Amino acid sequence: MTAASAVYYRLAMGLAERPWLAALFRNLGPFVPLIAAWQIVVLLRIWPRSFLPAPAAVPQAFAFLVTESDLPGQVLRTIYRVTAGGLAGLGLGVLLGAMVGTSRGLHEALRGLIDYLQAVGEIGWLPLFIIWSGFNDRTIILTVAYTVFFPVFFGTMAGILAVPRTLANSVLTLGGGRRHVLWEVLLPGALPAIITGFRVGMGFGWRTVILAEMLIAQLGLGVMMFEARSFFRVDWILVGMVVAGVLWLVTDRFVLLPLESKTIQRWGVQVVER
Amino acid sequence: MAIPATSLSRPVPRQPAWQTTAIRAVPFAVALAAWWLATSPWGGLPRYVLPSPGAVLDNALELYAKGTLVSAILSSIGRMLLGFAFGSVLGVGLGILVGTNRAVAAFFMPLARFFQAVAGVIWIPLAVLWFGLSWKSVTFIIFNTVFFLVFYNTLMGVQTVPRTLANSILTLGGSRWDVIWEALIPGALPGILVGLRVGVGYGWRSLIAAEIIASGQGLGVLIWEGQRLFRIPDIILGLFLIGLISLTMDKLVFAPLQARTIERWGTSARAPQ
Repeated sequence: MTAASAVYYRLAMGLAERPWLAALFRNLGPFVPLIAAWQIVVLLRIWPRSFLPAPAAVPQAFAFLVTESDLPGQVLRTIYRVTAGGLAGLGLGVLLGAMVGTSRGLHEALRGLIDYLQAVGEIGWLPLFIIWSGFNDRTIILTVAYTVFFPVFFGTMAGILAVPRTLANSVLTLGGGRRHVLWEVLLPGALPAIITGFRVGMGFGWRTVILAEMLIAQLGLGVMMFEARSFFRVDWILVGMVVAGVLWLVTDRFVLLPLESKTIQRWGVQVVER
Repeated sequence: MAIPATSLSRPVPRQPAWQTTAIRAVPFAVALAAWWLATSPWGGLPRYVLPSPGAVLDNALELYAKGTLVSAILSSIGRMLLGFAFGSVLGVGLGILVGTNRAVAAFFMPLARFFQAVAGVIWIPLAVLWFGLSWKSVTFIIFNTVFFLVFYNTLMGVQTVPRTLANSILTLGGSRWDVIWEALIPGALPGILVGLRVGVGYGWRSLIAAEIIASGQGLGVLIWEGQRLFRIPDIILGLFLIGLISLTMDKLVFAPLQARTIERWGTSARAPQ
């Protein structure tokens, strides 16, 4: 009893002293009961093993795929495609968002068309992209760029519209030109919203790249998962899903989210809700 | 989308609705004219790159006459409704259930975040193995997309409701049920609607994707077979309908609903468009 409470005390103290350990515990802890429940379901033999493998089969399959089947190479290919597509979507989204955000006439006129193009979605365009551009990386990158473009575009536009006019007017009064207003006031002011749009866009772009790979690529994480289906390897598919989820969450938590909060601290001028 | 609301943006000048519609129709007309011109003898764009608007219309009428068009639309919409109904009801219900207790919510948050990140099309290979190449796989994918998006947003929405509201109801003699019904649900409604709206948009896309891979009919099949058999008019028709149906669901159902809710219960004065 005393030994147990001593262990608990030391664990609690250890967590309190190391916030990152506490965060790790808080974020990974909930997965323990989930995996335990999964294990119990497997032991009950409701479905055959090939239908639902045991949790332990997933790390085993991961080790196998890394050593025997070049999983890292496939994942790198996927990361390359999603990064290239994401950056293209970011560039285009900021460019067009800034154009439409600074001109009320354009904003009014293009609103409908842009809403419509967003509603069509990247998957609707994919067959046409394939016919125009072929079964290659360019088509996949184009599809990802299409996904990322819209949240960035709307973010840029909304961000620019939310910048107080007095800031732009003071630059003009002090002798600055329209160029200064754009670079010194509007774009920095819109930056937090741009980054937010990029974050949302990349979240969906990450799924788009995997889907596009399933449909048209020969290499990549999506291809690996889709091929696993024809060998009836549920464990390989689960590895793919875990890798996809973990990679996205790590990118989001350690790159995009800090970037977002930094820009909000540095340039955020909006009156944030709540 | 998490664009902060603001009272500092320029006031929007009021103009009649027909004028807005007319202005917004102009880019569509320009795009149509450009398309027509590019595929006409003067533009010279070959038919195997882009068929003319007339060819697409003829093809659409032909498919309509054969009945394949209507059955494709109906089967896609039917699966969408089925998957969405299950996903949204379960997502909202479980989100509120989990969100009412702060410790439980904190426990489920990392799980919700992870599954929200992989929701949707990433499940397609698993769905195909579990449910076969059938409507079950397709419905499962829509359900999955909608459920995790709605669950996550409901959970977030419930947690943003200030605890003081719940406490004041309790202090004034209300029960826990009153807290849920009078404070948590109305307070979470803007978040729930964001989840539902995003869920419809992305559920519809996942539906098209799932149809491409796992089923024999629907709009996804129309565009994908169009690609395989090189029938570009089919693809353009499908693309047009996919956008139209998605936009109709969004603008006629969710946009007004969201605007109403945010005005009525939301924390910001104006609804995002």
